[in-house]
Amino acid sequence: MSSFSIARNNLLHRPFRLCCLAALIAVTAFVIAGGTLFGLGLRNGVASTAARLGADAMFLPVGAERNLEGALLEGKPSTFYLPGDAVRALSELKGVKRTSPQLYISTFDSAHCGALVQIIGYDPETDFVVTPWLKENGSSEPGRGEIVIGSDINLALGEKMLLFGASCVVVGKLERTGMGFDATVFVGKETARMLIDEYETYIGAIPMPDENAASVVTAEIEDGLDHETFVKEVRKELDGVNVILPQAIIGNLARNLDLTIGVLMGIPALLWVLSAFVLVIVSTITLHERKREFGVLRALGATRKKLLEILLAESVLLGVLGAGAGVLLFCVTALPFNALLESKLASEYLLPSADVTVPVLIACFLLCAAGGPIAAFASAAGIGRAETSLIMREDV
Amino acid sequence: MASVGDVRPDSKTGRNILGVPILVIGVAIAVVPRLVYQAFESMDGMVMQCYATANAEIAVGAAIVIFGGLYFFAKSATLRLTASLLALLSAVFALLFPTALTGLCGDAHMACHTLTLPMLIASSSLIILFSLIGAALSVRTLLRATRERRASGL
Repeated sequence: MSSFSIARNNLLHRPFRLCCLAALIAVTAFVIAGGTLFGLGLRNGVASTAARLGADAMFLPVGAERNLEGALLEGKPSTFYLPGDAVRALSELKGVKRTSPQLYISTFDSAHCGALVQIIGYDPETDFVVTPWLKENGSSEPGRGEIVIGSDINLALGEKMLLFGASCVVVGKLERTGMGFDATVFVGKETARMLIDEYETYIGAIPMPDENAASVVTAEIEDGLDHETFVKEVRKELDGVNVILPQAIIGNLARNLDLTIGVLMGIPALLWVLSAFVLVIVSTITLHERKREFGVLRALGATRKKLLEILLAESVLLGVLGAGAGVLLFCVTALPFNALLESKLASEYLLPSADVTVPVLIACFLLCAAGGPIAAFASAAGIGRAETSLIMREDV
Repeated sequence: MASVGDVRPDSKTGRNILGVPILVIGVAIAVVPRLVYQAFESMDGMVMQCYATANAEIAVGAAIVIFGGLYFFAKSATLRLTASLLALLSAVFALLFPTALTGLCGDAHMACHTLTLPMLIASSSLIILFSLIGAALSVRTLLRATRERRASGL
């Protein structure tokens, strides 16, 4: 009979002990998988926000800060404008390398629109934020009457979306960002102009102040420029214009997040050590109780190597069963609720893609499955000697 | 009499471990989408797809409760095998209604996407898991009984 078969029979002979130890490993695997993926999700959320906000500075009308934050981070659409002369003045501002205007239009929650979404109109000729992102996603620049949509908008390529009175064709769909961009429609300059004309015909629309107005002006600022001085100068020189420095905000957020992620990763690590410690204790007690069983096996001719093989096979089976059950339960009971977590934490959380999630789950499984054999090695060290003395006593 | 650790399929403990979760999860599948998350038939004149799904889940959940009850009370291994397989089939349908058959609302941020769908995925997956274990244990009992019959020459 092989060591593996003996080990399997030994485990099945004590189903209650098997279930309890497997449950301990399963809980550890569940918590390690959850903690690690949640920590990575938080890091990924900040990285995605930093990448999507792209620009060094964003200029917007004073009082529209909450609207911009709602549109970019939480997916709450709004319409607001910077007058045309302010847009022109910004492009000539000292310390600014290049600028690109963006127009923010909110659709209406009515039958006239396919859904309540944020429309962002950008100028492909000057843009340096949206265009590189579209290229990353393999989407073409949207032409007149064409749109590129965020991942949460339930339409496929080639389908049409009703925006006010205009029916626009979907030519691109972006990857998930965990930000308001997931419920955003991106359009070129011409389509934006067409849509704003349609928008203004509706009751409740906010009329555009002049032809050159924009909602936000994204800007790249010169290297080495002191951010605080720049913000002060903009506020002093341009009346009614505010400036946000996304990278500076994200830098602070990332620093605060590192501590949270450290705690999130630390708790599962501590649990793994605790679980391994409990397994060592349980294995030692169990082996002590099984001295007679091993004595009988030795008397029947089993070598010490054979006994160690049986112990190791038992611990491997236990580890694989427990870790497999924990990771499987995590995948079927916790992972589906990821969308809820993403919607509650908005831009601060974004589950890593499958090419990161799957290796993390495999690593959790291996780490937790290894807990059993490690505990078996630790507890079996003294058993060899004890078992020999027992045999000697039995012989006497 | 079965001991605490005895989880053989023909023991009462074994039937409790598998039958009770199937029963409880079946009730959750039937009740939660319609009553807890309160799926509406229509909103602003628009027919809500999740309402149809919630209605279908009541029927599927009720079926799972019946098959879970059958597994729990049945003394014959053949009957328990049938109950496990039927519960498994019902769980597959519980999963298919929101994902492929009737679907959910268009907006990915609505409760039917963020709460009802993950709850149904988790519940159905657990029932599939328990049903598979139940079916495997019943098959093992049947095979063991066949071997014993052959050995006794009957």
